[in-house]
Amino acid sequence: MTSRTLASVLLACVLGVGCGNYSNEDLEFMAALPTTTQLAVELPSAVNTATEAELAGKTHDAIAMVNQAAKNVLGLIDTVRTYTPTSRTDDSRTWGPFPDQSNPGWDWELIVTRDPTGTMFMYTLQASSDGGTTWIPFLTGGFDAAGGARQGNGQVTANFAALEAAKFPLDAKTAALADITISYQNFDTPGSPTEVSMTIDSTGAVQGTPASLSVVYEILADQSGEMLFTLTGNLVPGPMTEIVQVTSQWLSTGAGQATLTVASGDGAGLSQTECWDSAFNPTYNAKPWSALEDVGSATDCPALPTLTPLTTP
Amino acid sequence: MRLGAALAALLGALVAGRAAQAQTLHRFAVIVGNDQGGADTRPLLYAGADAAKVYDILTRLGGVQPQDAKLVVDGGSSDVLAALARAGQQATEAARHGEHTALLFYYSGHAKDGALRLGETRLPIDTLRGLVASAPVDVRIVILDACRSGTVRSKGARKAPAFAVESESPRDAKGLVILTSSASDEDSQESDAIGGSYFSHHLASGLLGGADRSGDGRVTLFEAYAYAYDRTVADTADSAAGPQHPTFSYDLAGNGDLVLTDVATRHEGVYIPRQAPGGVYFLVDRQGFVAAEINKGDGVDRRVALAPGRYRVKRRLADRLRVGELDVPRGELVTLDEDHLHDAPFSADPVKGGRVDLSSRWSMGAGIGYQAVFEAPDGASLFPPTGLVDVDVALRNFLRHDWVLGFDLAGGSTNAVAALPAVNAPFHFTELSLAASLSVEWPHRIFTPFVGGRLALLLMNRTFDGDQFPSQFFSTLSPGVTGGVAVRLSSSTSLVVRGRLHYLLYNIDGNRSLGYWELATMVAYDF
Repeated sequence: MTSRTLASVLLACVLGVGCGNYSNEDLEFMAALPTTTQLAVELPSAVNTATEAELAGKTHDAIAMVNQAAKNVLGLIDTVRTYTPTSRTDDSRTWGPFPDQSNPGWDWELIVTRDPTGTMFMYTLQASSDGGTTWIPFLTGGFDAAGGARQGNGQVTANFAALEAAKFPLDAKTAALADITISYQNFDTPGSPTEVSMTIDSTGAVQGTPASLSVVYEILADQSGEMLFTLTGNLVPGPMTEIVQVTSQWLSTGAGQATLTVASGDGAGLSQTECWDSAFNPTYNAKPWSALEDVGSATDCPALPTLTPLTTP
Repeated sequence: MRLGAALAALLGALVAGRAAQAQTLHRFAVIVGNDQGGADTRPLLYAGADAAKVYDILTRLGGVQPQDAKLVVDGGSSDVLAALARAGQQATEAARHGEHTALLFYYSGHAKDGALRLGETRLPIDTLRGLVASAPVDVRIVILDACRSGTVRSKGARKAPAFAVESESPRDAKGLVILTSSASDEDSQESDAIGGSYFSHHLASGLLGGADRSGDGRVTLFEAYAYAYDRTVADTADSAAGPQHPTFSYDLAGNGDLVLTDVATRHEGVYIPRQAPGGVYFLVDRQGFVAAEINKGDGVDRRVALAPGRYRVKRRLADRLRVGELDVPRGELVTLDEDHLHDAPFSADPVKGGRVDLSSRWSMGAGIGYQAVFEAPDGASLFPPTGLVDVDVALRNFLRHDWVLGFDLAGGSTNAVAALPAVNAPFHFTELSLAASLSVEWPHRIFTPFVGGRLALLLMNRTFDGDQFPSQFFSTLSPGVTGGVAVRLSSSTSLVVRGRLHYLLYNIDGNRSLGYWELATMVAYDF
């Protein structure tokens, strides 16, 4: 706060005009924005990763990737939210424009609007390189607080392609992303699962790397859950594009089971099933293309409850 | 045995005779006090308290039944007229039953331009005199403690030739007696040191037993007047306003004197024995007020019919004080032995005046309070009810007499939850207020009510659990009104109970006119 601003605030107070950022409405607008921690998932992890079951490790890797992507996308919003809105209307709050300290010449602005029902919020985090004349939407999302306080459905899309097209200085790894879409619901009602799905599209994918990736997982109140991890791209040697899926399900103890399936493309129909115990050591592994890795029998798998099957977002 | 039986019969006859006297004179009293005299007068401090004191003495010691006495404090002329009319009706009813009746009218307050000044109302003295003179009673006693009250002496009444009029036959006394606190060209003065007007103070001390010159345990009208006269003249001789001379006139048929109080029958209070040293004894109550000032001569005893309680005693010598404390239990007459007292320097004088000081002075107080915003759109989610710790500083009688310029600092905190449709966020709320106030107070002996205006700078802040929401603050100026009462605990400390109502403009989520109330209690110390 500059000395001039501070003087203005003090003068306003002296003149009897209330001043400050004390607002319940602000809280509602801010609560509509997802947080990194809100979407992050903590799964039981292996103490000894060297002996960890292969598909248990892939499950962990997928969740870690989701957490990191959420952090990369939502970190910007987390930062903006630590500030008081710059301006208010009855149905909107605006933060910024703020100059991008890391990228001189670029400004950022976050606008959150609320529909007349008071439960649906839409937001846009956008960038501008011409002083605010033209804005490039980067993050667009919405939240429906249908479930009450901080409970509802949300979706946010990070459009890296739009930034790349506007010549925003993205690093090479980020520039390879086209967009990331995260959908989530976080009803806190006991027994109601937290569900997050994410889709990442890449540009210019090469042999062995996915062109698109999607994850959907559901965490129950006792921290048990299930995940469907889908990769699309030329992942298996051969001419065709494959769709490879990993479905995992685990108990609150950590014990679980996963199945990797090549759904289409080269090697279509191949499938690996693996089970592990609460220490994440494999108890059963059936890997047709590498029989030497097979261990145990299907009866060594943990008894898992039947959950609603997940579908690719 | 014969001698013993004769003595017993004589004592019985005496007691019966005294009882008969008390029964034959049915007493009614109208006691009026008003600190306010309206325009062109300066508010008094102790008129109401003086009236209350006289009321207490008359109903406790003066044979006036509570249902026959009317105390009018800070009332108007219509209240006084109504009280006189009621007393007249009661006296008429008593006379119908063959009773001998007396009416005592006491007034402490302002008198100016031929009228008693009762707040903004007037009661012409001629009217009062006519009403009392025509009252359907046998004996009428008017005691006026007011400036230039000597003008009220009725024509034809004889000025008292002396004050040693002996009591002989009260039943025969009929007519009108008028006591005034000052001569027609004199001001009547109040004293902070004694917490009352000089005249009423000494009259009360006399009625409590100090004036019992005959030592018979009864204080007559003439004894009381003589005592009040002597002590008032002595106390005011060196005052800036000059000496104040009470007047006494009477127009009594018969030779009777009137017994005003009986300090012996009740057998309760303080007894200063014959062998105690002579001098002026000050008996000071818990609040620091002089409950009685007794001028005891050498070789005489005095009964002081004080109400039960704890008292400090002071007797002044040339080079030091003799001070002590004693308890007066209910129904007991406690003897004040010299052994009860010890030497003390003048700086330890207990008579510091449990009084209201006219000079400007500072006071400081500390206490606790509770604040709550009236029903706000989001209820307690916005500004939750909060306990506060208050520190007050006040400057009295600086801008104007009885005006109090105050400054206060208050702070408090609490935990609450912002329970909103889409948010459920616990937070920690803190508030600091800095305020200035200007109040008017009406000091009395024990209670001092006050009302005023206040302007507060409110600084509110809340922080939320976790890092999802930034901390929020709000500051504004909030005008309001304040009022309450200070209860005097001692000469320099008071217990203050106070309430406030404030307007609060909240303009962050749109303009909203909110209000809040506060209740607080604190202990204040006068420097």
